[in-house]
Amino acid sequence: MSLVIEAAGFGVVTAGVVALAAVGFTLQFAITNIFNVAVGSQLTLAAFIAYALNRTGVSIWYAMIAAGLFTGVTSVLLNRMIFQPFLRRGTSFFGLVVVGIALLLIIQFSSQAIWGASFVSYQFNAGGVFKWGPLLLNRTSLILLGIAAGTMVAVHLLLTYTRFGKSMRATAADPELASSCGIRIQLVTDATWFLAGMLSGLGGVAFGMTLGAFSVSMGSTFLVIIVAAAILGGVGQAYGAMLGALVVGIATEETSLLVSSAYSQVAAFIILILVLVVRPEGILPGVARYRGIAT
Amino acid sequence: MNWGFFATTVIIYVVTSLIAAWGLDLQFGSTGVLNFSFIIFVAAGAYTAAILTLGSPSGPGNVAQQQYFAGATLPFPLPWIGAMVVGGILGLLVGLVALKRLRGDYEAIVMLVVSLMALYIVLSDVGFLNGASGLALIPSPLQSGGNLTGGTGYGWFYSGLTVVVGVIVGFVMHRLMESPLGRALRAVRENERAAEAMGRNTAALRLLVFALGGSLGALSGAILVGFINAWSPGAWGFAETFLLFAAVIVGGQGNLVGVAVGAFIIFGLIIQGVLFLPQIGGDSALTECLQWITAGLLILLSMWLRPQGIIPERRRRLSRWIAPARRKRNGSGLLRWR
Amino acid sequence: MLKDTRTCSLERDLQAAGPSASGRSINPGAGGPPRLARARRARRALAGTLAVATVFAVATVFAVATASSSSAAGSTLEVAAVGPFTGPDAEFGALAMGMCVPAANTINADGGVLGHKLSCIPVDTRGDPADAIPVVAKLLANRSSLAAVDGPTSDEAAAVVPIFNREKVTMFASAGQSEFDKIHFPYFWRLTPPDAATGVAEGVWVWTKLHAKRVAAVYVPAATGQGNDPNAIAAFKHLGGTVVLNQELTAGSSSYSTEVAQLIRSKPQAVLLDLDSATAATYLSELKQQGGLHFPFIASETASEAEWVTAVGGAIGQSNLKYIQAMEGYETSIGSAAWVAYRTAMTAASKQLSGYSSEYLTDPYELTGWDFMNLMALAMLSKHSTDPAVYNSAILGLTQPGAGKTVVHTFQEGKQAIASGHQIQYVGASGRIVLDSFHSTTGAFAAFTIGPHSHPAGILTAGQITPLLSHILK
Repeated sequence: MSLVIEAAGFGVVTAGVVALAAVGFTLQFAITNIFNVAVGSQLTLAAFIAYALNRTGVSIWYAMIAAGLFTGVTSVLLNRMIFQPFLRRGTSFFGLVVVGIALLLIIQFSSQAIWGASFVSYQFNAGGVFKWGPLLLNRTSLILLGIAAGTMVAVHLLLTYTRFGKSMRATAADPELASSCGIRIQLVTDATWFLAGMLSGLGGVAFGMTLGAFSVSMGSTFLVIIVAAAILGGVGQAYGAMLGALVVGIATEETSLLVSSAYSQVAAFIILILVLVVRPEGILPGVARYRGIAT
Repeated sequence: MNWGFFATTVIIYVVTSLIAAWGLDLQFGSTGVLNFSFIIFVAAGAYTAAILTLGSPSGPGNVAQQQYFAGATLPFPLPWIGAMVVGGILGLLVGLVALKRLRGDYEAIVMLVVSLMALYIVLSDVGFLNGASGLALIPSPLQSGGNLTGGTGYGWFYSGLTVVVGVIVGFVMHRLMESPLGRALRAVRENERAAEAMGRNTAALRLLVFALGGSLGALSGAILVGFINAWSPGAWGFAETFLLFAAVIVGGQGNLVGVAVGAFIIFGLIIQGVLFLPQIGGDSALTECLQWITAGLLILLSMWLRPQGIIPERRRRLSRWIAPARRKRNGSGLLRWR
Repeated sequence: MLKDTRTCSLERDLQAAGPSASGRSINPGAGGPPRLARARRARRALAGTLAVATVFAVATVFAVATASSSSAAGSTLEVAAVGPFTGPDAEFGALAMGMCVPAANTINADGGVLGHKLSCIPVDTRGDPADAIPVVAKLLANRSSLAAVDGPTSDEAAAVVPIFNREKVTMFASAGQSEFDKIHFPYFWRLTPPDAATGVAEGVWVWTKLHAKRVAAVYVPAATGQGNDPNAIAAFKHLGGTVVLNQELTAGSSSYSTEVAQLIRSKPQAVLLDLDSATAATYLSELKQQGGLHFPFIASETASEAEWVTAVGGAIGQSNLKYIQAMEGYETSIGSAAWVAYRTAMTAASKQLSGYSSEYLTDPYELTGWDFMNLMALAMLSKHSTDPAVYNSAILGLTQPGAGKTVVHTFQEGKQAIASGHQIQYVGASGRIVLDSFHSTTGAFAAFTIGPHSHPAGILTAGQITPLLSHILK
C-alpha cells in the first residue's frame, strides 16, 4: 500500500515536468489556434542549449532560464518569419501542419548536425534523497516541482489579474472584437509565442534533468505526451494542462506498479481515449466549447 | 552501373506510398477528417500479410522462431485480401472514434495518440507481433519453393505487379469519386448539417470512408512487406503519417492526380532524391542530417510557391453559382476555423 | 474590416461565448469579373507549378550529376559500412565505420590489394528494414567497385542479409539475431557471438561467479537484437536460481521511479540488465536517487559500447560504473602482437572516426571488424580477385588451422606468406577464430568492467556455455 502512495508521489514529480511544456502548448494553441508540431524539436534544442552552457561551467538553473528565453525568442521569430507569412499567403490549416512538419525536420536534424547523435548529461548536484512518510523525495525533483508550480501560479496571475493577460484571453475568445477594441493583436500574438516558447524551453531542460542522459531524439518521444496531457485536461485551459499532466504522470506510475511496467505508457493513452469518448472537450472547460472543437 | 534494383525499389516505394496516400486522401481530402493515425493501417496490412504467409508460429514456416499470436500459410493473393479486410475493420474501429463531433485539428491529436498507442501495444506485448524486432524472413508472393532471395527479374515482376495494382486502385477510386457516393462524401465535407438535412446518413458515410481508406492503407503495407520481406515498428512511427500528409497537401488534396503528383514528389524526388546529395567530408552522419534538412526545406518551398497544392481540387461545375464557406484569415497569425 | 457595434469591454469580451464566434464565415468577395479572375488564377497556377517543377528539376539534376562524378574510375575498392547513422541507434553506424577505417588505412599504406586502394563509405539504413532497402538498392546499383559490407546491424539485417547474399556481396555482420545461427547464407560472416549465447553466459556468470541465488531481471524486450534476458533467465533457472523480479520496461519513458522502487524492495543479489542507452541512463539515475545503486549488474556487450557508457556514466557518475559488467565474447588476444598492431592503427585513425572513444581499443565489434578486413584482403590475394563471388569461399580456410600452415597475425605477414606460396592461418586482434558451418561463432565469454579502463573481470569457457545453450534453444 505504501508503494501505491510512493508511486503517486513519483507521478506528481513527473507531472510537474510534463506540465511546464503542456501549459505552454495549450496556451499557444488557445490563443493562436495553431498546432505547432515543431514544439518537440524546440524542446530538444532548448535542452541542448542548456547543455552547451552547462558544459562551460554555468549552473544548470541559470542555463535553464537562458534556454527558456532562447526558445521564447526563437518561437516569436518562427511565427513571424514562417507561420504568419504562410498564413498571409493563404495556406490552409492543414498546410500549416505540413509547414510544422517541415520545421520539425529542419530543427531536429540541425540539432543533430551540431551535437551529433550521442548522449549528453547535465552536471549538477542531484542532492540527496529523504523520506517523508511513505514518499521518497529527491532534492532536484522537489526543485523542479517547485519551478513548475511557481510557473503555473505566475501564468495564472498573468492571465487573470493583469491587463495584458486579459488581452490574451480576449484574443483567444474573439480576435475580431478584441482587435476592434484596440488590442494590438500582433503584440499579443508575439507575447503568446514567447510565453509558450519559454515554457517549452523550461520543460525541455527539466526533461533533460529527469532523464539522466538524453540525445536529439528526445523531443519526438515527449511531443505526444505533452499534447495528450494538454487535451486530456481540456485544451486551451492552463489548469487543464496541469490536470492532464497529473493524470498522465500518476496513471503511468500506478500502472507500472499495479499492472506491469510494459503497459505503463499505454495506460495513460487509454485514459485519454476514454476521456475523449466520454467528454471530448477534456476534463476542464477550455476553449473547446467556444470554438466548436467538440460538441 | 546496374540501376535495375534501385529502379524497382523506387517504383515499388512510390506506388505503395501513392496507394496509401489515396487512402489517406479518401479519409481526409474528401471528408475533412484529419487522420494522423493512418500509418497504423499500413502497419496492420503489412503484419497481416506477413502472418498469413509465414504460417502458424509453431509451424515449419517460422524458421527463425519468431513470436506472434497466429498465422497461416495462404497462397497469393489471399494474404493481400486478408490484409485489406483487416485494414477495413481497423478503419471502422478508428472511424468510430472519429465519429465524435470533434473539430479537425483536435481530431488530429486524438488520432496521433491512437497511432502511438498502437505502437506501444505492439512493442510491449512481444507475443503479439514479435515486439521491437518485428517479423522477418517473410516469403515473397509467387516465389517458388520459399526462395527468399529472388533475383532482379523477380524485382521487375514485382514492380510491374505493384504498378498494375496501383492502376486498378486508381481506376476504382476514380469511379468512386465520380459516383453518387463520391458526391455524397463531398457534400458531407462541405456542409455536414446540410447533407444530413438532405437525408444523407453522415455517420455511415464517415465509417465507410474510414473502412475504405483503411483497406487501401493495408494493401499498401501488404505490397511493401512482400518486397522488403521484413517489417518492424521502426517502419511505422507517427512521422510516416506526416510524410503521407505532406504528399497529399503538397500535391493537392481531394483529387487523384494531385495526390499522385504529391506522392511522386515527396516519396520519389525528395526522399529518394536526397540520397544523391554529395557526401560532405568524412562525417557520414552530417550528410544524413543535411538530407533531412533539405527534405524539410523542399517541402517548405513547395508549400510557399503553391499553397493550395500543385493540382488543387477541381471545382465541380454545380458549385460555381454558390459561394462556398471560406476560411477567414487574419494577417496577425490568427486562424479562424469553420 | 467589419465595424462592430458592440460595446468594447474586456470583461464583456471574456464572457462572449457560443457558436456564433466560430460560425461566422466571410466570403472575401470578388476581385473583378469572373472571366478575368479565372484567367488570372490560371496564369498564377501555371506560374506556381512551373516554379515548383523547376526547383525540383534543378535539384535532381544537380544531385544526379554530382553523384555520378563522385565514383572513381574503378581503381578504388569500396567497403560499405551499412547501419544506422541517424535515429536512436545512430552509434551503430559509427561503429561500422570503425570496423573499416583503421584496416583500410593500414592495407592502403602497404600498397593496397592487387593494386587497388580501399575506401570506406557510410550507408545509412536509418535503423529499420523499410528504410534500409532503398539505400541498399542504390548501393548495389553501382557495385562494380563494391568489395564487401561491414554490417548489417541487427536493426535491418533481416531484410538486407538475403539481398546481399543474393547479390553475392560478402558481409561482415554485427547482427546478433539467432535466426542467423541456423540459416545458410554463404556470404554472411559473423564473429561476435549471437545474443542467445550472450544471454546464457550472463545467467551462468551470475550463478557461478557472483554466487547469486536470487536475481532480478530488468530489460526492454528485444532492446538489443533478440534480447538476452529471456535466455539469461532460462539459464539461471536451469542452474537452480530464483528470479525474484522480472521487469519488462517500455523504452524511452521519462520516469521509472516506481519500477526502481520495486527493484529495491525485491532485494536481489544481482541484476540481469538489458537496456538501451536512454532507458538505462534514466533508470539507473533514478536508482541512484533512491539510494539503491549498489547491486552488481550484468549486461550484454551493448553496455560496453561508448554510447552506453557515456549516457550512463553521465547520468550516474563515472565512479558508479564499477557496479556494471558487460558480458562479451572473449579471446585471450588483448595484448598480443596482433592486437598491438590493431591498436596502433585504431589510434591513428581516431581522428577520422566521429564516434571514437578509447573503448574502441577493446571493443569486440571493432576488433573483429579489423580482422574481417584483413581476412577479406588476404582472401582476395589468395584468389587473385577482388570480386566477392570469387574470394568469399576462401575466407573460411584462412581461419582454420592445418598442417604446414603459417600462422600470421597481420595483413603484411599474410601477404608475404601468400607471396612465398604458403598456406596461412590468420589469428588476429580478436584472437583465434572458430567458425561453424553457418559462419557463426561461439566461444569463450568474459565479463568486462565498463568505462575507461575496461578489463575482463572473469572468464567463462565455451564448455560452460554451449551445452546449456543447446539445451535452452532446443
